[in-house]
Amino acid sequence: MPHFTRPITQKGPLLKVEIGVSDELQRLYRLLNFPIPRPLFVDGLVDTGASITGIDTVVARALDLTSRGTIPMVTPSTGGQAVQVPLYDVSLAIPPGNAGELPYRVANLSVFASDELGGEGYPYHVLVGRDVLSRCLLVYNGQQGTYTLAF
Amino acid sequence: MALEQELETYMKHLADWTEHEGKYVLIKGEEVCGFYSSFDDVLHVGYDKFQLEPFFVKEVHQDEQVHRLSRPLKPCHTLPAQ
Repeated sequence: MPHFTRPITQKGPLLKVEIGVSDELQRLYRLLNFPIPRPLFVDGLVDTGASITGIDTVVARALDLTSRGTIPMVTPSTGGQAVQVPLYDVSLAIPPGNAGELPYRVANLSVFASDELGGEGYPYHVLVGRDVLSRCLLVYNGQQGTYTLAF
Repeated sequence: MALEQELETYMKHLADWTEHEGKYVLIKGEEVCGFYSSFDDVLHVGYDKFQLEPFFVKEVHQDEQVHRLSRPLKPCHTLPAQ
């Protein structure tokens, strides 16, 4: 099982994530002979407090994403009320820890967007939520100050 | 927010869709275009039928799960213009 172990930084358990347009949208772009936006390789945070993965609006704009659905969401900023939040379809890949191993890749994933990611309060561009983590094994070793992600 | 009409269409018909629980519905405007067993499948059909026009995809649930973030992030309702 591919895995890697990384230090838990002051910002939390960070990892590199590749975000691109979804494989289905890539397929359409090829059919239409349109250029495919280049995927972005950005810092993400492993966030077990997020039931769904989120991306920075800068990433969403760079990929020229269009909303394809909505979900109800509650955060501490929504005053306890669920609000309908747009979703965008992307592809997501987490690189493996060792050469020759395959990345963990989701070809078509629904994510929300926030313009607060990537800023001072949240200095990373992706929140890797439990939807992605549900297919992984995560070990948080507080004593050693490391975390391990296997997939 | 974009896709408001599609969301209204979803809410209008949801009570009639108990047999489609857990499937993904494809909606364009007021038109319900079909139900599909996976997100990959509904996206495939959506992009085939509508290409780069807006379309709406939703997993059908009579009692929909509310998603939660523990951080006080504000999700965006539209993408800011570049």
